[in-house]
Amino acid sequence: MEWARILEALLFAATEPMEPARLASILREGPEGGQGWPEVKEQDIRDELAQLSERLAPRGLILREVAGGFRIGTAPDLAGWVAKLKGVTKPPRLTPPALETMAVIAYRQPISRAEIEAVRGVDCSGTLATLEERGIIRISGRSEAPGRPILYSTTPLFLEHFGLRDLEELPNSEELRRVKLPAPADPAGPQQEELIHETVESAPQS
Amino acid sequence: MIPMLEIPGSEALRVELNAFTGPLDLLLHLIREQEMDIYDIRMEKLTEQYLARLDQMKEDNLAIAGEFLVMAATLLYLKSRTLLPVQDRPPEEVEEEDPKWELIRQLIEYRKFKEAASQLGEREALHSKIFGRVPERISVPKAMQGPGQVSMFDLVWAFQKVLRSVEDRSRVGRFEDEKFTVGQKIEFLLDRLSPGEEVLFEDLFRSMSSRGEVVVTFLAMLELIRLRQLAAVQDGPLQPIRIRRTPEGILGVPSEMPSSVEGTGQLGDNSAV
Repeated sequence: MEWARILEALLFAATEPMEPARLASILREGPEGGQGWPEVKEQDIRDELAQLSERLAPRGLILREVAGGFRIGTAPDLAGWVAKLKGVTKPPRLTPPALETMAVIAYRQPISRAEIEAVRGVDCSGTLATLEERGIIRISGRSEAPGRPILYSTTPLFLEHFGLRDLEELPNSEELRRVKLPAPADPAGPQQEELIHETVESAPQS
Repeated sequence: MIPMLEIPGSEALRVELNAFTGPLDLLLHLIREQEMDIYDIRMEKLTEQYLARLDQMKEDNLAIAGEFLVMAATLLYLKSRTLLPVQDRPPEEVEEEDPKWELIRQLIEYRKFKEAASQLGEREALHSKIFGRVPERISVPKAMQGPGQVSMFDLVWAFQKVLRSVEDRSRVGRFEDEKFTVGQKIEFLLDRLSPGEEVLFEDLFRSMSSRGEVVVTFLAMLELIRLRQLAAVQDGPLQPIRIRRTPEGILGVPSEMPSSVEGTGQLGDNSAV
């Protein structure tokens, strides 16, 4: 199909993941003042993307499905070579504390800082600031809980950073979303005692 | 809690100190090392090992985060409990379940997320080897940057201008019973601007005649900017500042508008907790 070339060009030039629906609409619309491909459907795009992925396999590029769209990237085994290029850098990897905070947010979003700290048992303000600054998490609202704490959620950049198609692709997502979290540590307050009591009851018996 | 563990500058020190991200991490490590069953923890042994580690850190002159000390106290309490025969426990505790279950449960939960974190780390490692195209960077001097870049200084400068004009206006010598609160003014601003709408910074203060009201309104605006409900935008240096209501409804941070978020990031960081 002739528009397959256009698809390749769009994916090459794009600086963010492209959703098939968006690719389809660009193809249907056509260039400024030019003729499009009005009959192209989203499924055609998906089929073509699968073929493109196969065509790229033996080459230096790969097609990835991340953050709800498709992106062309360099093959992972060539990273050492690509990194030699001037100006080509990847954002640094996250530290173990940041990864832990990240995991709690990813599975339990939206979530407050106190709830994250209850899981990790350490202060998380530093890692939260780092993650937010890097655009991997965002403030998504305020909880109805006392004090109306700020809630954190992941961003599309999170999916891209970890190469995830969507949040469903997180490993063991079913189990970790269900897990009951320990109550946030706030020594004062009668509500707190109730919560702790509840969690003790749900602990396994020996 | 003492945020000692994660102050960015102390990161290097922390790594040297040990590879543990917190007391729970250390406990899991000890449980594994001692080949204990997590459901059948020997409190005495675990406490002893834990305290030995803390001593070792102290000997190495390393700062120990507060959370590690809190955990030490918890362990000592749990251990002391195991030493008391059941009939000697305070009557209110006899009926209760052993509080060590709370710790065990917390450890099990934490372990799940720790494993998830390491899986995320593996994914990150793989995907950090894939390079995609990034938006081309056009280097423009900071001061010349286009829409979305409003510095705190610009905002304060504009605010001072408004304040001066109010002082001129209020010279008539009127006394008013001022009862303005930031909460009220937050509501005022949200009423005034529908999502996506934009007004000139000065226009928001036009109807106000007292210094107090202007100051409170400005504080309300800063709070909303911090919460990303509002963004301050400017077409270029010395251009009028406009205040825009974030289009994505209540508390949404529009990820597709990185420029305005970036422009206000400075404000957000300064006024953050």
